[in-house]
Amino acid sequence: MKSSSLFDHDKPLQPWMWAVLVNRMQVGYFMLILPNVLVQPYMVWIILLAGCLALLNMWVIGKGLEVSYQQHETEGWQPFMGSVWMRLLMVPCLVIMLLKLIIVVIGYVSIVHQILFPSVNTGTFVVLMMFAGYYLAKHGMLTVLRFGVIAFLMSAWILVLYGYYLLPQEANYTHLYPIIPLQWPSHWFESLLFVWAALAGPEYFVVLGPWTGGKRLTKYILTGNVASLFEYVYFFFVSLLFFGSSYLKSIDIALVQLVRYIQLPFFERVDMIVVPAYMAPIVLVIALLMLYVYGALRILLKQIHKPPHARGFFMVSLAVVGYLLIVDHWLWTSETQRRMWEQLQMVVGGASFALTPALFLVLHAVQSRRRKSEKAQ
Amino acid sequence: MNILRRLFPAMFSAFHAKDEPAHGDEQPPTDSSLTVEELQKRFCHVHDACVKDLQVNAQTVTLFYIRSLIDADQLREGILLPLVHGDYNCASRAIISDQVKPVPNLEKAIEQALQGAVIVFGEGRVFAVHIPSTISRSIESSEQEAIVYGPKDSLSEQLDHNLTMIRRRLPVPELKYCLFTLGTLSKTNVALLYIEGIANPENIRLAFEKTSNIDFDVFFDSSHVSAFLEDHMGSVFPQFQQTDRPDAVAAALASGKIVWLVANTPFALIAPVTFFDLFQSPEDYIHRWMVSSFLRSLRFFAFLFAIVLTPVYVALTTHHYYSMPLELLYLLMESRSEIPFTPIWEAMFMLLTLEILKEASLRMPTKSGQTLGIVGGIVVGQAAVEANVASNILIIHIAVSAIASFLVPNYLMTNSSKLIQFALLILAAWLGMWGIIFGMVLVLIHLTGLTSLKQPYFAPLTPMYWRDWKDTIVRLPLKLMKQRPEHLRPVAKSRMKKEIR
Repeated sequence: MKSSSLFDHDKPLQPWMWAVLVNRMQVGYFMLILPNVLVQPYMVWIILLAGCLALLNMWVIGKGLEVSYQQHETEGWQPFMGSVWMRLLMVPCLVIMLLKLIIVVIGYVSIVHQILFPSVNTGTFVVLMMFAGYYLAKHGMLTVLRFGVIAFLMSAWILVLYGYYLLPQEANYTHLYPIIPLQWPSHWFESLLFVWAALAGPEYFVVLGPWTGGKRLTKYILTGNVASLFEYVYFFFVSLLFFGSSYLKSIDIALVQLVRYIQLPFFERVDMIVVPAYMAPIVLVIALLMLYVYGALRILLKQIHKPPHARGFFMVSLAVVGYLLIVDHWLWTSETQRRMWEQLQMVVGGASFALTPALFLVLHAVQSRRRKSEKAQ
Repeated sequence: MNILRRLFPAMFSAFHAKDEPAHGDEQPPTDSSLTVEELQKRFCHVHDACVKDLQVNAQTVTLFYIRSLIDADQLREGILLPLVHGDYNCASRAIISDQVKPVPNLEKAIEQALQGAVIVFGEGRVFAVHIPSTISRSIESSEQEAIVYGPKDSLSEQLDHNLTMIRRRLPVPELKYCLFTLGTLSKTNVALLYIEGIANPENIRLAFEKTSNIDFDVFFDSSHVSAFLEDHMGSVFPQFQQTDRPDAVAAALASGKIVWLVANTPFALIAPVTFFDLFQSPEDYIHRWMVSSFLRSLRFFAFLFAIVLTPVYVALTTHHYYSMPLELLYLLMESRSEIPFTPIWEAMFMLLTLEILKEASLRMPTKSGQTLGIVGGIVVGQAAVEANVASNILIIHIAVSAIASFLVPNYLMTNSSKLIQFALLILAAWLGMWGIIFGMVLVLIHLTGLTSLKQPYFAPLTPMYWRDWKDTIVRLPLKLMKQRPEHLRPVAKSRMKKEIR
């Protein structure tokens, strides 16, 4: 690998691929555990509300991408890259990214451990997932973004599989009652925040302007979000129609449990394929976050003006694996700790989703104003 | 021609004087060290190096050549007879050949002699007459890419013959041909072909750059050349298409690809290629498009089948036996009940045995190969089951996957799939279905990052080129393929006459 190829952006990504990327970033671990939190039929309105709010945020992200491209073309950010403020900003960014990595990797690994291999140590899966993420990331950002198509194709077919549960024989449509809440739902804000945090992820794209080729991508980003919203509603209804609200409350990872009821003539445990198939979008997120962590560390350590180094990236990846193993071994050992991490990510992830694009645009406005005043002088 | 020359020497003499001034007339100043004696000294202990003195018009003309490298008939008809019996003042004019070149120095003379030239010393001048020996096999059908219908000729070891076959298919001046000599010892001629106005200039530039930067001593096969041209050394996937079919070469050129023809090997190199190109056969364009589409899809399915079938058996029997229906499970348990090995060792043993048999059958003479087939198929297979070394079901799995692997038209790709199969087998034994899918994800990541002549190897999937899907897994009617593959970024996108020129 040429070390300088990590952040190469000589070829822009095709516009519609951004829709796929947005969709796969939003469909991850949180979507798998969603039916545990949203159990009442009327909670579909919470999903739709969160989705509509996310659409507004997506519009801001679309604008942010355009700004990001302009900044790249004019090298607008370059003078600020080594500044103290920029380096300070990288500290919370790193915390947010590492937290997201914990949730995505260990969350998925715990599902694999619980459903497929209770006898295998979770650390093994953490190392393997991180290896796959590193292997993808070392091909560079362009390959990571292109891998979005593979991640989509490897996991989107699962939608069709669950269609079986929408057929009347399996689906009990009385479970949809009451779709209009009879009273103001309790914990509605927590549920809204949960869905909002689950939809988080595309805010990381806001700095990927150089890979857009200067094209307007807002409509593609919105399309990706609408597709995710459809998936959320679809999976919510599927699990609700089959299990019903009262039973749904009592089962863990309802979507995975649900697929166990499908029995093919030659294979009776389809979850053995469905759970591994979710690996592809998770690997995509890992690879993207690892590149971001490496980039943030380069800014923090004042290395941004030097070309990226393959060995440096490997060392950072190794450090991240070590950090995840520590969390997995000591800080994610019980159900209580799992809830704690999920709650933390719900707040931090939700906040970063809401604030990052807006903050980016504000920074751009400040920078533009400063440049104008400098020109005037 | 020779008879005509003898009958009308004056006419031929006039013809030469008018049209062929390069026949040694414009001799550049020769090096003083360029003498027959010096050449003999350099070729001492080379017993097929010959020196022949001839008396032509009261002057001595000396010929130097390597007997094994020249065509004896051409020497007699084109050089010896005209020089001895012809009526010329100048030796270079007497010689009947269009391959007469002046030789400026000793090194050049050695180089020319080794390429099948006769070095002629006479009248104070030195020139080389190229009459290389044209020992080659006749044009035969391709063994590697045999088809039922369609052209039956195939490329041979003769570079000129190969060029002729391609030029006959593409008789256009835009078909450009550049010659490189590679190998400090082998001096292998490598021809780089492309169609100007169709092939992407960036690809052409890269091909030139890569070819001219090659530095090695010997090149005996196009694979040796491809090893120096490929973008990724550590990949199991072939980054060049190797074919001995002139129609496949012509089709590749017409779609905007670049072709390397290597002397002394019948296999041409084609780049840029994609993963999907390696599943195509020239016969796809002969069948009806529905049939071709079905056969092509079958090949992809067979490739997947070949690499995952045995690992899935190992995964199911090792980790997920509870995911099988009861009837199947009974069958499997009965089949495996007396086998003392774990599924991974059982599968590994049988797969290695199969690979040994396949490799042995390739190396053995054809007649012995049949015996080997019987020994392998019946004796080893049946005996393994009877001796409780392998289960019946595993033998079926391995046999089906072995047959499925041969559906892939590209032999190099078939061999690549074996390594992937073994890797997946180990992952399946370790982590079951999760391990297999983990392995597949790694392969897909690898394919996404792979390039052939710096063009994405996994196109038109990543990056996605919608239009190119007309001729990828399915093959739509030719009438609908009005444009060249988008992923090759051809200069002339349309295949229609008006838009090309």
